[in-house]
Amino acid sequence: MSSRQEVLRLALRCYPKRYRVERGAEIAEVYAETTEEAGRFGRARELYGVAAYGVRLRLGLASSQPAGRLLGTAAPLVAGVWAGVSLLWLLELLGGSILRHFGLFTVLWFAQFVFAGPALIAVLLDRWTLVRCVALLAVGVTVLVEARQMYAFMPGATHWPFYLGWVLEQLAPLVWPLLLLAVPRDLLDLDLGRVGRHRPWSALAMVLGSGFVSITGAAVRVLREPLAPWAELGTALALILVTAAVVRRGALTLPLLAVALFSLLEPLDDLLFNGATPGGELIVLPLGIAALAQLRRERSRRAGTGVPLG
Amino acid sequence: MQEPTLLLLTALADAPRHGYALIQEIAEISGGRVAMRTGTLYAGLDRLLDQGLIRVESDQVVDGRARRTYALTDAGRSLLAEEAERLRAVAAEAQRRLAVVRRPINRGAWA
Repeated sequence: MSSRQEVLRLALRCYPKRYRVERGAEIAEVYAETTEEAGRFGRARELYGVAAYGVRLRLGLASSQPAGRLLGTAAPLVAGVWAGVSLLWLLELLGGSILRHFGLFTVLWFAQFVFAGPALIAVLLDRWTLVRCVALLAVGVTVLVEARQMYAFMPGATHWPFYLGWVLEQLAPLVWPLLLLAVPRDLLDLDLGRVGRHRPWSALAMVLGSGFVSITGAAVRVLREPLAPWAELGTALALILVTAAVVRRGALTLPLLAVALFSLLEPLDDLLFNGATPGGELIVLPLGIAALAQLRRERSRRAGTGVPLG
Repeated sequence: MQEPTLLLLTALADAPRHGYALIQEIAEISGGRVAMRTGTLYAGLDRLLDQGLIRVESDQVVDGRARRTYALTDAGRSLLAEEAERLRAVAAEAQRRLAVVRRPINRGAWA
């Protein structure tokens, strides 16, 4: 077996076994024919494409799989929340003591939160390749900054639960760019002029909504708690997925009403949970977006000009 | 309809084709602008199979090579026809508007 075949065999190992058995030989043939006259770079790029699709299938994130489709619909919302949450983290950092030690890593520290801004602008302009590049850059910078932090911080911290908690908290900002990178590429390509026009507005609404949360102070309060970014993040993520699912389904259904009822718990938050749960405001906004999208969809359907979502 | 979907359906409109032939057809249809990669091709094929827009026409070994050919289903053919009609209407309207020679606005004696 030549080294080329060996590398291809390794790439095919990325696919789920059933899929590999069914389609592996076919993919290998297409790869061989496509790269027959290609140079080393061309072969490497093709091989990366083959392996990446296998990994996506394994993770359930291909565009033919429900999770992939859901992420495709939720992508603009994810970008919006990323920008909003980054703004909050940035405000929190500006109020801290980090500015006293100005240097390269201080700049990088701030940069990891600033990337969300250009990403959101790129989303609004429907430039998804740029969005993915910025997301990748954000992941790289965050890993660099946190690795350096760990190196500087860890010698004194030997208590592993503390270490684990600290790592989880510090890596929370990574989730949003990683989600954007996880969206199937073929669900993000520009179409030929009929891109769902709701996308920029929903992304913008999410940013404004996150800003609203910062004004109320609820999120800032949550951010000061240990592991709070993850709590906030988990809630926001669940909300996005619920919203996206509702929008995709195109109906104001029972789950939507259930989440709407949950949002009414916010006034009772202080009483029941001593204010420890993430702000209910985060819930109200995606619900509003879902409802508006649904109303618009119904109006378009009645007019016979349905605009596809996602 | 997204461009990769349109290109894949168009490449299958006149005859069933196997994977590599689809890549070649797409390059030709797009005038060399789109060079679809193997991973992207199979992501698209899986999605279209899942949506019932294409089907597996045949599965055979030719000259020792695994050849699976794909064809449009009736649903895929209808969708492609609708999209082609929509694009034709938009293109016709664009050409009609471009053909209109607009006279410059006469600002009158006050200009």
